[in-house]
Amino acid sequence: MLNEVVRSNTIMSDLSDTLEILLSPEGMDYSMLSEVEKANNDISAHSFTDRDKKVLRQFEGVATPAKVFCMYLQNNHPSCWAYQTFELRLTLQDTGADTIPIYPDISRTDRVKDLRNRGDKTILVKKSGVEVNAETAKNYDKVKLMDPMVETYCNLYVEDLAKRVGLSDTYLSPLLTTHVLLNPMFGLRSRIINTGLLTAEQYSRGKMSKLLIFMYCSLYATTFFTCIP
Amino acid sequence: MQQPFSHAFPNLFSVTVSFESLFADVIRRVQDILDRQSPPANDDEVEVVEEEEDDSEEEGDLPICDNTNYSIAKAELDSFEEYKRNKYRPTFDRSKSKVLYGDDESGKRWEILVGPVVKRGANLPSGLNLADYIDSRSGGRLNVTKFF
Repeated sequence: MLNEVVRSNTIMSDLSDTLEILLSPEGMDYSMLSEVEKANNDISAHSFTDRDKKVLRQFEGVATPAKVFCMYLQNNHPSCWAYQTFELRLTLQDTGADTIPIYPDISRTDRVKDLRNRGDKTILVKKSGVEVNAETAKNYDKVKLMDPMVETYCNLYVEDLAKRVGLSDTYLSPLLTTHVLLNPMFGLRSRIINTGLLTAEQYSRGKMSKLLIFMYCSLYATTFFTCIP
Repeated sequence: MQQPFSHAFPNLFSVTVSFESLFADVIRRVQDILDRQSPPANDDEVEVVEEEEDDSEEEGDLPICDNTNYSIAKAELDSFEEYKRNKYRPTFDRSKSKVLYGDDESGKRWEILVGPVVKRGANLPSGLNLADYIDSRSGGRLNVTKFF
């Protein structure tokens, strides 16, 4: 779905112009309008309103972390499985962020030759009640307020994903903790806890699991103790 | 005291109630099995601690043993924790990295980066380097399977 949104965002204004021409009284699709729509000259049901355009552009920005997470889950590279919790937390962090950068609408611009190349994300979208300091704002062309519908999506997604996986639970499945503790790139306890990768309780319980795994390995493969570089 | 090993893992990871007591029991049973397979060389090293009265009925006559196998596992775990220190970890290209961040109580910013390596960390005591286990084709993730 996000790919469809990206495609429509890329050509949004140009598409709207074309639809208006096709649905105008002189257009070849005018007969598709109902009598009421013809009488009121209302084609909003068949084209993008200004709010539609705004919501779609903002949705593309806030839904990108979810898309990246889906792509990660489909990646079967051997190094990926150990980053499941990291990717989960990152998705929640990025989707729940107070500000999210988005692409500008580059359609209808004469100087753009390739609509697929939209350049940098030069618009910053902020949630309601969030103050953006001047130092951050100067990195963007515009700072806009997030549409309530998009904000609701962000809150629902973060809440739902965390609940489904049980990330807020005191006891986290070893499937989500063991690889964190076995990966030296995540650092020591203080880094893991302060970045929110695991809570203190989840860490201590995960460490008990890890100790058990070490002992389990010693039971069936004593060489495990010498295989760490 | 002598119980089949399968009894040590009764739906271990689905149990949420009395988690600590379950783990303590499981670790103790694993210790017993390890002791049978590889008994301590010197009986004097085994310190038997009497169980508390509250647990005596539930746990039977199982003693808590501080044995060599447990010590080996714990020492291995501690040495592994050493490898997680900053000096061993490589430096990443921040502009191209995924960053998970958070602040502690004092306001200090903590970060975990995943991305392209720009500077290798110090070598591990074995002479190997953590950066050698990072796969650039997977976005700079460490291949844990290869590492172990």
